[in-house]
Amino acid sequence: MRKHQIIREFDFYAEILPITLVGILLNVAGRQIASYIGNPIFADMVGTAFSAILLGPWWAAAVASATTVVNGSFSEIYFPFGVVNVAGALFWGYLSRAADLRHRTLAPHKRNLSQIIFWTIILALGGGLLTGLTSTAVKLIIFPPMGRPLVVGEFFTRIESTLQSILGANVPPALTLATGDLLRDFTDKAVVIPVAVFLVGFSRTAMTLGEGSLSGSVGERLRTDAASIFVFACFYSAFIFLAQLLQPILHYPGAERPMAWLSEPSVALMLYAPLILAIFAFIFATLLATDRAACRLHALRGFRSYVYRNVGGTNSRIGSLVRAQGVQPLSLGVTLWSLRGVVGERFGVPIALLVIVVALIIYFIVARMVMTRLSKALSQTRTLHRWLEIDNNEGSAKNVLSLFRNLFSSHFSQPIADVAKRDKLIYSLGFVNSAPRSRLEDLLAIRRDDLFNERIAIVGVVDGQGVFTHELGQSLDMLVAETGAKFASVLSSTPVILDREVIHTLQVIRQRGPELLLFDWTDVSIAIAACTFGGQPQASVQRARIRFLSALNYGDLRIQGADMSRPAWLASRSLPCLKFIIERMPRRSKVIDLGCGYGRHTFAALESGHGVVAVDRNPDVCRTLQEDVAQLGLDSHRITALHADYIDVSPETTGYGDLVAVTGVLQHARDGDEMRRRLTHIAGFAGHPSSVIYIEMLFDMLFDGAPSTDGRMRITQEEFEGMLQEVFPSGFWRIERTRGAQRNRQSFTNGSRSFSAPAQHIESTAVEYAVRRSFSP
Amino acid sequence: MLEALVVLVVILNVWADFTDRRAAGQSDVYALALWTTIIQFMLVTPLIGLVSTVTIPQIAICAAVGAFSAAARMPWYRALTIPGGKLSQLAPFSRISSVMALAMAILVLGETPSIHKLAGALVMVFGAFMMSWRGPVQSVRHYFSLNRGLGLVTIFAASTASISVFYRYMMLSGVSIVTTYFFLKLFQLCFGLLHALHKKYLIESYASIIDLPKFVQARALQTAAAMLYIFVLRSLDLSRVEPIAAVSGPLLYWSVEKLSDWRARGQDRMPSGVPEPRGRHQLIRNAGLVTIVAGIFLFAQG
Repeated sequence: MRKHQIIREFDFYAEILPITLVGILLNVAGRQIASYIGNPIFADMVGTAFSAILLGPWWAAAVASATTVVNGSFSEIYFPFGVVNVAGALFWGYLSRAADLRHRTLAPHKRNLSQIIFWTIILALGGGLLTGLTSTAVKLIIFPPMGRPLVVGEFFTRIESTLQSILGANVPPALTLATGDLLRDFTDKAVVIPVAVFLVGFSRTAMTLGEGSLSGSVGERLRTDAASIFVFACFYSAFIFLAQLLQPILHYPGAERPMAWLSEPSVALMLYAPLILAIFAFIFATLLATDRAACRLHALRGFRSYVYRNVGGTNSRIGSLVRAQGVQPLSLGVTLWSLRGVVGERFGVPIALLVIVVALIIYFIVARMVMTRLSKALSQTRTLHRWLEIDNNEGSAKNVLSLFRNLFSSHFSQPIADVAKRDKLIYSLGFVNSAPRSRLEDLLAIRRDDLFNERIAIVGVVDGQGVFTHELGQSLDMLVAETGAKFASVLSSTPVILDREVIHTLQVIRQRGPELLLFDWTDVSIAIAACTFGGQPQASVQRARIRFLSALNYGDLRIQGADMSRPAWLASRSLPCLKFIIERMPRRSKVIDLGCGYGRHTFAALESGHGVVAVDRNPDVCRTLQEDVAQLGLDSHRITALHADYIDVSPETTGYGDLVAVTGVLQHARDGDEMRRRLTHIAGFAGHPSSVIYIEMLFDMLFDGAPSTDGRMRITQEEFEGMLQEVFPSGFWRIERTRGAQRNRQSFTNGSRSFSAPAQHIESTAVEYAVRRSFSP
Repeated sequence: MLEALVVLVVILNVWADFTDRRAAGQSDVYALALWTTIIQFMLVTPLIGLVSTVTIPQIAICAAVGAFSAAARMPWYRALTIPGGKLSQLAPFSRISSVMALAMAILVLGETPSIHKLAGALVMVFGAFMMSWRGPVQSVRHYFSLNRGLGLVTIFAASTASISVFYRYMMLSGVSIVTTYFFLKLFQLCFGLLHALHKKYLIESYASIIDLPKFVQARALQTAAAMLYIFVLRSLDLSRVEPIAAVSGPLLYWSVEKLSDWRARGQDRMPSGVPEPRGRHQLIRNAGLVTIVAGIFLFAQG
């Protein structure tokens, strides 16, 4: 599994790595500047706050741990205060995420200065309070064993005398210490937080970071958290290890004796606190969506959102009241006052500033380039998904056409006419590129007219249900005849053409002369990925070309499996869109194949390295599947074959699946209630926040030309999709139609089938759906 | 008061074992063994300041014991994943490690055993055979195939015994228990990482742990129990601690399992496909369990 697969919410190399490095650099430079100018502030948490706002709590905590090692190697007294840095990171990370600060700061259409200032103050005040009290706790733990008094130095003596004048002579030293620490930390955070927020807002590098992560599912965020907690635990362990190697003996100013600080049991106990917190957070982050605790957590999130809306929201009464009372001018004043001493007094300051500026410039330039590309890819993927969703419209089809033209601009020139529509086909005309432009020409946007000849191209997208039908084929044929086009490419959600009438139409078009490319959404996904990383979508074009040729030679395809092993042949028969999903899941994901039959999806999943639980009620089929599995010699934990009706199998037996495949099974339901019950039962297997349910539903089945007589319900596609929306409501699930409707006719004269029906020829209309969890935080 | 802490240690261990049992189902045993070492090492890192230096021979012994104990986790997790295996039988059976530890102590450390210890060991071995009895068998192979789970636990018990003897050796050499514990975890981690690199499952392995939160929870509980145990041992003798653990441990395993069986029956979701042992066999196995407990009790008196 590669890193970007582990860390779902962010890209490791483009986002996490540069931000954490800049965070560490900012912390170290801030500390050096503060020590040079002798300011009462520490300035060692700018980077922590910066990464907390951008990446969330646990990445920031990892930054804090790494910073402690670097700063501690300069000055040993810094080491025990690593816990303080971690506490600040967690507080700012969670609060800024809850307050949506990243999005508020980065997204241009959401940017609201008063909101940003308001939350900056809250972060500064809360952070100051927390880090101040944690500093005091650390000092209370490490000072007594060193024989150092709690109140030492001019600053604390002055505070003690002030407190004595207010509270009387007997002021506890701990109170003096806490007061002093709080004052220092409030001042420090009044500088640190505005600087961090300014850097985040000023950079505007991570715009997709803000937008993308918010549109992503909670599952992605939770997986990110789980990964980042583990990374933090590694960093934190490394910090303690290096502390022991670098500075095991602590010499503190004003102390009577040095101390082997890590040998103190109380210090060891203090060092455990972040790790224990991490364990709890990890268990929380990896709770299954269906766990009772997770449901409570979700409810708490709702309550939290309500509180934030009412306290800090744009239209909230309390928020506007607080802002109206002049918080903004006050905060500005405090910030400027705190910065009054920053203007350079010694040489160290300009050097440190220069380092920061150079590092930030490099980071901003690189990140900006990557982010722009990722942002574009994200937007393109959204366009594609909108077209696939079952409640799409003509507008989404037009958007996909535009996307399609852009992606394949190296193959087709700009249109010579506007977007037009004929029946279900939305199309535009253009020219075919005779040769692709060079990379240099591409970069410099040089237009070479000689690249285009007079071969007219039709670029089209199928509207509505997205299926390439016989009627659509005829429309395309007429269009080819009228325009004299020598090239046509059509995007549909039908990945394999099996309908004999459609194949006949394709043959007719081919006889007219034009080359035809049949694209589906999986090709567009691959093209988006290729273009994002600076490549050409050649692979997608080849796939579309092969698809067309395969459709023409459909009769020969069925004997291709003769030389394959049976499992490999079965895997090759897996539904193409489902296989596309299976192949792109992280290795060792869990697939539950309900009504698995001979196991075409089961073997496809095993080929891709996943674990499978296969369920089928036919004992002979199960036995054959087990024999085929035995041939592969896989570890027993990779595959479990259950002989049972899936309705009798519960997730407690199978566990939750990352992918739940239910193909050609649901049509057996006898009435609407049973269908709903079955769908609800299937939903129970998709317990992970990122689970996908893949459904293939067969409509209008004819057995040797006659309808079924086994009492199964008659249901139309519209009725079924209505039920899907009922069982999988849009606030929590997203339903995409990935293929169909497509009419198929299958012949079973050689008896090779996994279900019991006497018919030799079965006709059906197949539609496929991908149902994903998608609830907003 | 400290005796109550011993019971708490046992409760934490039982809790961890049951959590492990749930986390281990259908998971990859290699991954479980690797991540046990990683998480346990991370949890023990804050104690690094209490670690002192050790000699080269001590490091060599530590490395050998660490590698063996890390490798022996795999059979333990394999035993946990065998369908129908009851923890209330597997866990007490693992106490047979006391007998192995005695044998190793005599052979390696040259200790002289007391009559109580020898008698206790014999009783425990007898109890172990009673627990493995499944009626008349056709061959030795048949006997082992019927007792695959117990065989795997025996390997784990051998590693536990080697750890006990190792602890004893290090304590006799004047090395602190924290140092011993730290180095043991360090070498377990090293072995786990090397094995993972060799078998190429280091990066992907965590995804194959079915119930990762439960697994992490079990590690945290085990480490907490270990820390508490070390704390208790500073004030109480082993001869006082062991009998309490010997009696309360199996009793807790047995009662938790009975309770969960009872709850499962109430909810009508008893696992299917697991053959229930016949009444007489079950009686003999329970008698074997009681015999092992008696053996541990007798053993600890010595």
